[in-house]
Amino acid sequence: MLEEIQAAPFLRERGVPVEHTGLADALLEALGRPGDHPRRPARRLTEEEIRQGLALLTGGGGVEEFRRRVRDLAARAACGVTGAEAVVARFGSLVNVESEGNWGVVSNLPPVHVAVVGIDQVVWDYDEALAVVRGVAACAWGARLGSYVSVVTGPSSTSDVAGRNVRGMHGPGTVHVILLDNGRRAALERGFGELLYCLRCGACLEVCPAYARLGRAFGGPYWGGRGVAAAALAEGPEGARRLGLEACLLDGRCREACPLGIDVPQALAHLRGQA
Amino acid sequence: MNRKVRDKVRAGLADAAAAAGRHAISRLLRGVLPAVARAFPEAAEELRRIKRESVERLDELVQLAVGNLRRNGFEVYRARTNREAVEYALRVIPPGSLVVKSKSNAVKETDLLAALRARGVRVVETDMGDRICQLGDLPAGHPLGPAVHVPVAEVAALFARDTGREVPAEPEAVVAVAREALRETFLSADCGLSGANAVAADVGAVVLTENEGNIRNLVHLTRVHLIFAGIEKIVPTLEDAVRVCRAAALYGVAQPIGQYVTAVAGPPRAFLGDRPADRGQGPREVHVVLLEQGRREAVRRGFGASLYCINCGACLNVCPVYNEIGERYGYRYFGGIGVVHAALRYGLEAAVAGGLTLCLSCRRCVEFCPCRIPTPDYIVALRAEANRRRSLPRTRRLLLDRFLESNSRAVHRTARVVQGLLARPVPDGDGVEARFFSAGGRLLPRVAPRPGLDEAAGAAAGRGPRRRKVTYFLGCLNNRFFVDVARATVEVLGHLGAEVVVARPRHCCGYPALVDGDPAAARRLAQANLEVLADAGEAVVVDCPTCGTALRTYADLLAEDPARRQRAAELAGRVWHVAQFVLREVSQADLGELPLTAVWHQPCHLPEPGSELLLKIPGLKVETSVEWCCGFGGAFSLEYYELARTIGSRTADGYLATGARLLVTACPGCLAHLRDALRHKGAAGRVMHVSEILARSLSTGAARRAGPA
Ligand code: SF4
Ligand code: SF4
Ligand code: SF4
Repeated sequence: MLEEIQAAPFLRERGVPVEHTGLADALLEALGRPGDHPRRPARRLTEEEIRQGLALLTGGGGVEEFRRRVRDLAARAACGVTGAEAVVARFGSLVNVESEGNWGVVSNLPPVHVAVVGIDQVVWDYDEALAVVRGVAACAWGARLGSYVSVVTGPSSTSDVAGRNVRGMHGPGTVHVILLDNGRRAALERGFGELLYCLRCGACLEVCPAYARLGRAFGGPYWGGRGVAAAALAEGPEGARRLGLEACLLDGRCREACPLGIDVPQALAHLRGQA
Repeated sequence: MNRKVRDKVRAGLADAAAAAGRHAISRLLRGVLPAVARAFPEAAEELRRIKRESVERLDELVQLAVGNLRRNGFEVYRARTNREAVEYALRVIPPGSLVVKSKSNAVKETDLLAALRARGVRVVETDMGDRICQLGDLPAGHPLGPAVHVPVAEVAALFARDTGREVPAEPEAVVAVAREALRETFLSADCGLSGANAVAADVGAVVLTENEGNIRNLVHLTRVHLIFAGIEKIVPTLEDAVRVCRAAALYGVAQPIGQYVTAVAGPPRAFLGDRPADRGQGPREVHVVLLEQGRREAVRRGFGASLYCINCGACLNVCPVYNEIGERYGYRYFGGIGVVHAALRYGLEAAVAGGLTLCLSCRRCVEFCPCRIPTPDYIVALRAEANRRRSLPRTRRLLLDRFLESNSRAVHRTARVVQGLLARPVPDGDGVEARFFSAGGRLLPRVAPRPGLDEAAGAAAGRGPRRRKVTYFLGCLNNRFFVDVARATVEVLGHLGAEVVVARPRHCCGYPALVDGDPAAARRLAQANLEVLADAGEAVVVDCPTCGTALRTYADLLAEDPARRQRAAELAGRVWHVAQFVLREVSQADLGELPLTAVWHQPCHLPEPGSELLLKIPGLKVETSVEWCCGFGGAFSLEYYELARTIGSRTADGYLATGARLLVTACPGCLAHLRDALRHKGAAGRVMHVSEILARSLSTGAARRAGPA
């Protein structure tokens, strides 16, 4: 989500220093390479590249040093910015699942937490959110769960001092949730609602010939074929053409691989007709 | 043994400030909990379903959870005893290290903290309330707000001393300083020590909930995380675990969900290349100690539902005993459920020391518990066991055997003579006061000249047969003392057009024997009373709600004897308290006007709110007041009079605050005890039984109809 809105470059342009806390993202940035998978962005790096990246990143301190640095950064930072996997409408909760633990650190240590979520990620109750969590974990890490599931329902608080409720006890005193539309409502209205089922698991990318050829240029920050369709809805035909609307072979391999059976080629065919 | 309990009670009563703090939190939560619980009715239902299933499948779920936890990278240790758990923890936590800790009941259950201290390990509590108590060496006032009663200036001073900084006496300032100080501790800690709200067997995750964010810090910032969890915390699925957390927040602090729910499914891993590379933002090792101590035993011995407990504390908010003496009622775990856990996890002696004799059987805890754990029934069963093993004093039973269990006229005469010798009438109250070892100037009801059974029979005689027959079952207290009430009850039933048959039980209803843990005696009395009520007609009316409760339990008591059980079950359906019976039978036109203001006291054992009936009486204004126990509890008030009186005194304060001149209740026990409580406040003689006020209203009504038009 942060990538979709290009949060990091945007903030940096305005003089706000931004640091990545996910090891893979930080490594890729140090190497000046784009990630090639939404869940495991550094999966294609060779041992040599990893060594090189870590050296650039930590000056030889390795993974342990990176870990220390992230927590110290998070403890000093003014603000933690994250996405989330789901929003529970009934209770007003953010739900996330992760393997690395940096989501937990970034959403708990700084005094302010900003979470950016798509309106398509809103579900009714916790059971549905946990179904999303289970789906993501299965697709992303082939695991039953990842390492942490976090449910955040507002700022940290305590009433333990003289019974008065005070915010910001150990976690953030302020939590902002940005609900992002960016073409999602348009998808629904124009009959492409199925695109909103996407879990960003990346299964479609593994089998997509266009993605294999063009890499991140295909779908850009929206990722792959589904991303091209999303771009068409968010930015119009121009954006979609720029991100490879014509590159799709319409062979439907992604539909077969997608755990939700999203029919991306059909959507792209329609959008081509409309463009 | 019971001297120790009496000493604890005395110490508890002496700490009035802590009691006031507890009452304040409890009152707040009692006020908001019912509405929140009503808003999410499915929460308690689902919790009960989950807990029932979890206990039924305990062994299977333990296997499943252990397998999945290990697969996720946890180190799992199954501790059969608390001792084993502590020994394991000492292997994980090196001597001299720094440990950050969050609330954990399972840890509290063991002697781990003392063992760690002995090895030079520094343990820092990170829940704000617990940290305040730790810094000030203060006892926890309430499990969910341990330090709420500590004034903010005192809290500020504690943190000033701890950090060497100036701390303004403002909650916000104190929190800011504490956040910073504890943050540094988190960042330099070696180990984290926590409990678990639930363990999800299907995914192998430990699930925790909180509001402050300290658990999240602990989970992400420590090198080694050690989790203590009882095996009863294991539930089938992750979804179930989240439901358990929701119920804990809902019934604990009236929140639909805690600010944070965190599921930990093993040490974190960062992915690099195509494999998990290394440690992520979290501990290198996560250990789970699954504690068995006494749990299987609880299931085996028929106390399985005690394992449903989620430690929400809802029961404590309503427990009259806990609110007065705090953590002294219980043993490591607080309150009645704490006594039950003590018996099953540490043995009967621990339960006796924790206050096995303190429960009033008021049943408030059962009503408020989201799991409906039958704590008072368990306590009664444990008392029976303690009696069998002679670990409880016999004085109570002797008194009851000799005095209450026999309704003979000879015993009545003896009682009257003895009371005349030992007690003197008081000028300002309806009763007597002990002459010698005056139990704190206790006002006791006077033994009536003639037993209530005879008075009632006299009042019922000469009314002739009517179409309907109602049997009046008269309990000991009205037989011995409140014969006016007995007469009034007969009069009320007469006004309703019934033929009143006064049953002549030779014994009491059996309730005192039952709750004191003498089921054999209770069974004997149940059998005898079942004979007495053999052809009782369409309704058996009582004017003591406790007698009603007793009559309704006969079927359970006589479960071994199918024929009797069947009759007892039929009887249970026909038992009515006079207040319920009148509410059902009376027509508004029969009730005469009573221009009075009254306040209603709801007896613990009356199945429905009785104030409804009072509201029907024309002209009678009914004030509402806090609903609280009178503190009588039968033999309880003989053994722990000071405590009983403190409870009664709070209730009396509530009633006096309404300004009503008259207190109406429906139980002779409440009547006696509240008269005593009010007399100590200089407000003697204002308590009436509902039969008495009904008799007045009905006879006014009858006179009005009979009089000139
Ligand atoms: S379109 Fe389907 S396969 Fe592709 S990322 Fe979304 S959910 Fe996964
Ligand atoms: S029955 Fe009453 S006195 Fe006994 S534990 Fe429950 S609330 Fe407390
Ligand atoms: S026994 Fe008390 S603490 Fe346990 S679940 Fe019931 S109300 Fe909550």
